[in-house]
Amino acid sequence: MMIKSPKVRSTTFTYILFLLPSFLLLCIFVFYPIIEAFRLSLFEWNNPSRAPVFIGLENYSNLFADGRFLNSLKVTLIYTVGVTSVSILCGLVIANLLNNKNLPFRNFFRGLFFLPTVTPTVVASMVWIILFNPSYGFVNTILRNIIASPPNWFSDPKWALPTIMLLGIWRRLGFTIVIYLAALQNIPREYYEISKIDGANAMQSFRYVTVPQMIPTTLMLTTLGFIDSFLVFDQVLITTRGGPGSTTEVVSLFLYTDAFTLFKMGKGAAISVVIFLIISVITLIQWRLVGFGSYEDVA
Amino acid sequence: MKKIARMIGFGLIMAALLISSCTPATPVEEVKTETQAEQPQAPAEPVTITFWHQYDKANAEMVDKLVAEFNAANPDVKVEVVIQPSYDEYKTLLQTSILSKTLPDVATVDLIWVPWLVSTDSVEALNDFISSDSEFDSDDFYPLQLEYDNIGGNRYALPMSANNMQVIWNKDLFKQAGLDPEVPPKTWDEMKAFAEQCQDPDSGIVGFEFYTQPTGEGITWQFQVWLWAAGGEFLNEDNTKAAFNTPEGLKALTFVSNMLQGNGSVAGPWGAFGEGKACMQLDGSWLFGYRKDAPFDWGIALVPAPEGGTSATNTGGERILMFSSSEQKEAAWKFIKFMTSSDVQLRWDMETGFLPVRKSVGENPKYLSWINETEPRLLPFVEGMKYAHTRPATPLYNEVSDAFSREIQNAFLGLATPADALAAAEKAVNDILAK
Repeated sequence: MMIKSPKVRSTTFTYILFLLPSFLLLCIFVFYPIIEAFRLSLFEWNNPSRAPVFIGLENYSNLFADGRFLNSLKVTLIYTVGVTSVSILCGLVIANLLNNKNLPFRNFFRGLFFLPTVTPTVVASMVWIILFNPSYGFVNTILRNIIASPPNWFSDPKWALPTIMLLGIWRRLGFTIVIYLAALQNIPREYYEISKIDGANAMQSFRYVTVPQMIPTTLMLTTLGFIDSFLVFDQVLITTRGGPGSTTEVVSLFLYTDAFTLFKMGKGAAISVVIFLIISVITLIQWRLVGFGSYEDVA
Repeated sequence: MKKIARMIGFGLIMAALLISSCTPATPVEEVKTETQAEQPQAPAEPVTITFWHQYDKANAEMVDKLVAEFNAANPDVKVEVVIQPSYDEYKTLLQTSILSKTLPDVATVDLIWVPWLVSTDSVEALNDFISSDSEFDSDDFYPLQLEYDNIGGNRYALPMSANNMQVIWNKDLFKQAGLDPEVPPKTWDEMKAFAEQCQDPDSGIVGFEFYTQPTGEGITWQFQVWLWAAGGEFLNEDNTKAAFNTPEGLKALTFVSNMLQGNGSVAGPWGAFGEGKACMQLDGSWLFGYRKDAPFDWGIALVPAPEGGTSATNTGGERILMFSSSEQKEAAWKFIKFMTSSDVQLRWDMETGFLPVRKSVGENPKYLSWINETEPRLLPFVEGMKYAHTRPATPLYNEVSDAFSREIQNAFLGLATPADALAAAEKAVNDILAK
């Protein structure tokens, strides 16, 4: 204690004091539940009045033998890859268009594209349900003039997942556009001038200047998009509740159904641990690829 | 610091996921209704009992009115009402309340939850209260309503409200399609023929709206009507095995699945009928709450019977019960007795449109003349009670229903033949019951 000057000691103390409240909250509401989830996943607990029974890794072995669980992973993966890739591709193109200084009403369009991102999921899903209703929905009312029998969207095993993915893309797009717009502002103007001098047309300067400069941002958007989409829940719960059949049953909905409506807490904990591990691995890969500080460009 | 902030942010994302899956969901916001009645000069402090129920709108107002009357008439007891408006969250809340020992004294629940609640050892058996209470006549309840809550020789709950499903048809759409708007289908063949004549895919009009999604009890409980009408059964006598994979079960599933392939119906989200886009559907007696002011003319008819068979329906409803954690069991019993008494039930049914659970209400001339004068369309529901079946009283029912609906959907959607879907459902249900 004597070696530290009173000043250093008081600053350290101040740091700790400021960090303490949030640290305690994190301990109670984050770290403790995480540990508890790992513990609970080793138990069978299907009746709230009975004590949980220790069954080792049986929840996990049951899960990986359960066709419904594997199917839910597959559905989630299709959703995640589709939503992430399409929202990134379209986001990059639209961000470039919106970055064009000659575009009239530029700020209006920027606001318009960001609107879905700040719309609550529940509201967006309700709107989607009405739009895509087979009987009186706007989409089919229009389509009936063009084709004989438009699909039943949320009720058609082939169309339900793409319809939900479209909703996910629509909501995700605003976010990717904003991030790309910020990244585009960071490209030194000289690069474009040089490419112009070298005789590049607009397409070529997009391909050889813009795209390479966007790689770190794209990697970051891929990871964030992957994590966000992998946890997709509310829009599926509201639109299809996993149906028709199990064609849109994503993994978090599977967890919700079994843990909360059927009270299989051990199984639910095991599912959440699996999701935790999958997302951890993806995040670690991203950290290795672009480093921990790669948000610098956009943050 | 930025790095730390990011790490914490990352931790939060993951933790949010785990929290959401591992800790009890936040209880639904409790809506407390103050009892309006002033306490008359009570000699001692009245005992307070908490009562949870899931009735909404006009029905909830009627509950408040009845509770106020009870409080006024019983100065020694004060009942506090809490509404639990969301079906799914109510069940989650009951689960967490069992864990945290914060159950109310008395509650009404969906009748299919009773066996499950009893399996958690949290429900008080009412045998002693009933046998020691000379005023209480349990023979007055309809046997179908009463036998459901007899579990292991004990009575755990009493019927509070009952309903069943019949066919509602849109007379305007019938007329438009050239059908007689006053003649509903009586047989399955008629039902299919009417539906085919009435449907109009070009305007999105469905002939008969079946409940095809989402997965869960909605599908199961509506399909059971067709299963029972075909002469089938859902589970065996002692609820240990599936009993629907029979020629009767196949007949029912083939009938429904066939219609759903564009022959009078298509799979779709529930609600087309209310939008005036379906000619017929099955709906419960609670429909008077929202169909009274429908912008189209409608009628109610008994569920059509298969050729040479009889009509059938599924009876649902709510049960009132007492939790064993209650410290005021005498007061709780007094309240349960009040809510299920003949007088209260008569007024309750006339106010809400629920169907009688007591003979002294169902056969009461006052009740019958009320129906004839104010709402004759209730008659098929009252008459249909004699064709009503109840769902099996097993604590595993929710899980069974979930699995069953998942499999038969494949037949509805044309992804599996009815025979294959039934076999898959039988296997799934038997796996659950074998545990």
